[in-house]
Amino acid sequence: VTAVLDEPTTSAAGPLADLRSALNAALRGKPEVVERVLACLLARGHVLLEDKPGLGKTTLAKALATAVGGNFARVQCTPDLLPGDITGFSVFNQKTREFEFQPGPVFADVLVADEINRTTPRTQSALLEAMAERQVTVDNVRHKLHDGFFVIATQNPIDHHGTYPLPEAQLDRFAMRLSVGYPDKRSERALLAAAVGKPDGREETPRQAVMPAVLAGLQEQVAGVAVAGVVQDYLVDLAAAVRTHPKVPLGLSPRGLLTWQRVAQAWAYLAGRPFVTPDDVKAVAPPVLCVRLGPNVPADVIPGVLATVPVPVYPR
Amino acid sequence: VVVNTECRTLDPWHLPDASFPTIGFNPAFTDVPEPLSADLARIANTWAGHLPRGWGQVTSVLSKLREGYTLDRRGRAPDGHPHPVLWFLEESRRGPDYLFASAAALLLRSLGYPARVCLGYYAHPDKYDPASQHTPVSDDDLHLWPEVLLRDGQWLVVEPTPGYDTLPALKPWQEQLADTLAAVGRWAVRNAAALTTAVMLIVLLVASRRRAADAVFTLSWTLLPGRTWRQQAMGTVKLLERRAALAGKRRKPGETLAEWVGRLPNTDTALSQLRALAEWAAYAPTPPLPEANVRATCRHAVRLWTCHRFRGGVA
Repeated sequence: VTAVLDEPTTSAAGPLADLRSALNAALRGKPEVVERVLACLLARGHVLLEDKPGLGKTTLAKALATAVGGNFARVQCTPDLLPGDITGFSVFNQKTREFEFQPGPVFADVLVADEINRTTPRTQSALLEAMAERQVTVDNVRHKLHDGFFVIATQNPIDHHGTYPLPEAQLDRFAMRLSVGYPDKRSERALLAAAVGKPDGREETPRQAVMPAVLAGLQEQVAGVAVAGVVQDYLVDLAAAVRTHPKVPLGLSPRGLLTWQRVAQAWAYLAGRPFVTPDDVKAVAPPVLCVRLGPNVPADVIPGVLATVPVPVYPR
Repeated sequence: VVVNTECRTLDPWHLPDASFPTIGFNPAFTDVPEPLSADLARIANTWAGHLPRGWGQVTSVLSKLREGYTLDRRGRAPDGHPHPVLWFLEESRRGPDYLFASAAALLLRSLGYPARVCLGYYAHPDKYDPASQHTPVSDDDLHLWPEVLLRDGQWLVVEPTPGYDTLPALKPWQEQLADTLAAVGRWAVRNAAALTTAVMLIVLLVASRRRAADAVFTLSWTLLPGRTWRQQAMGTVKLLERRAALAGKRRKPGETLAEWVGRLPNTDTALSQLRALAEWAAYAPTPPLPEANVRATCRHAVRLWTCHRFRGGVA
């Protein structure tokens, strides 16, 4: 009895543990951030990392891209970046006398869009179709992206000079927004110790932890995590409470609600449970909601909603 | 016929002794029939002669009549008796209100207070109709009462007849409170035995209400454990939630089971296992373990998590 009912834990070995280990090695002292990024990845959602410079956003993004294997592309967003630089473009082949499509970085398995708010809205919107539908249309021709296409975008919330805030429609396409935050003292001490003896100051090269096919298998298992009717009712009640909250300018969209359920499934899977509980829903609520409720939402809104909507404890 | 009257009230105890005049009034209001004067003076002096002149003397006479004599509307002096008032005061000690009023007026006159007897209708407080704010009166409410003259020429209504009262003076709230407390105190002293028993019963009930409620809940859980493993698990959680509520550790509506268990003092594996079981029961499509183990887990948690334990005590 004890073995079954004790707090479930994911196995210490296996692809998920390798993935977790690789990310924790890249981003020291931030297991909770790593766990949320993993949930986002398993839920097939895109992640927006937002924090001050130098806190490891790009390091985490690069480590994740490498850890999940497949093709990796990185775009350093600047104001002169064109949509075609992301989606790809057609060039005329002198030999064949035909236009040939040159795929852009979105055709990678993992796309890291660094400082995404530095590029123009026109270029930002080029990511919309890719993120939402995993396909791009160039010259009226539709090109399908890889099944595991995953966008990790980073942005700096402090330096607003010369930036273009992401439009709400595009923000809704991210599964969650995360802040990395400063590491604790012990982790910073370990960081300093690891840098001694490395003249160029380079970090350790991230390693690949899982094959793309394995990751696809994990994502399929996450999609199969059971969500009871009462938990879905709870999600709907929470969404209604968020929409009617007087301090929330932008209500939660049905797409946002679907994302919330998917991320909660991933969270339950990471906890080793084959079903979602209201605790999973609550745990992922802040990063999932903060990206899609509009600007200037007070910090107490989400905890307030979670504290007031009744939790379904008993089955119907 | 609707008659509206306006009455001024006062508290006679606040009157200075000099309020009752000794001169400057119609001497007819102190007349006492000669044949009665000696007896009345004797009775009046016995009842109030030892007191200083003033309201104390007046109220002493009134109290003697109200407490020592009985109202008998059909009582009357024997035919031919020369002095019905003396017969009332010294022999029958009962009679109708006119004898009370006459006796009081004559006794007060014997003590030197100008007094008279009045006839009118008594507005009984029990007949007051709050809706119309009127007190209906009938022939049965005909009443006689004495009045005492004050120095300023006003007549002070007094009431010697038991069962009748003058309109009390409006008192400041401090005095009303003191009167109420005194009345409550007197009532408590009179009913001390019953009051003590009632208080002890209430204390006993309050002290044991949690235990009694817990016993009822536990009996219900024992007799109706649930047919399926889900019902058993959820029934056990419900029982523990009730116990926690009795101990003041109620789960908040927006709180999950894990959050609730997490904030309980001395939480242990028994409760964590039950919480995990309840989550399976509520949210999982399949059972986690054989039914026999469900019952064992439930019984273990119920045995350990008593009301006392929820309050922070040791199991």
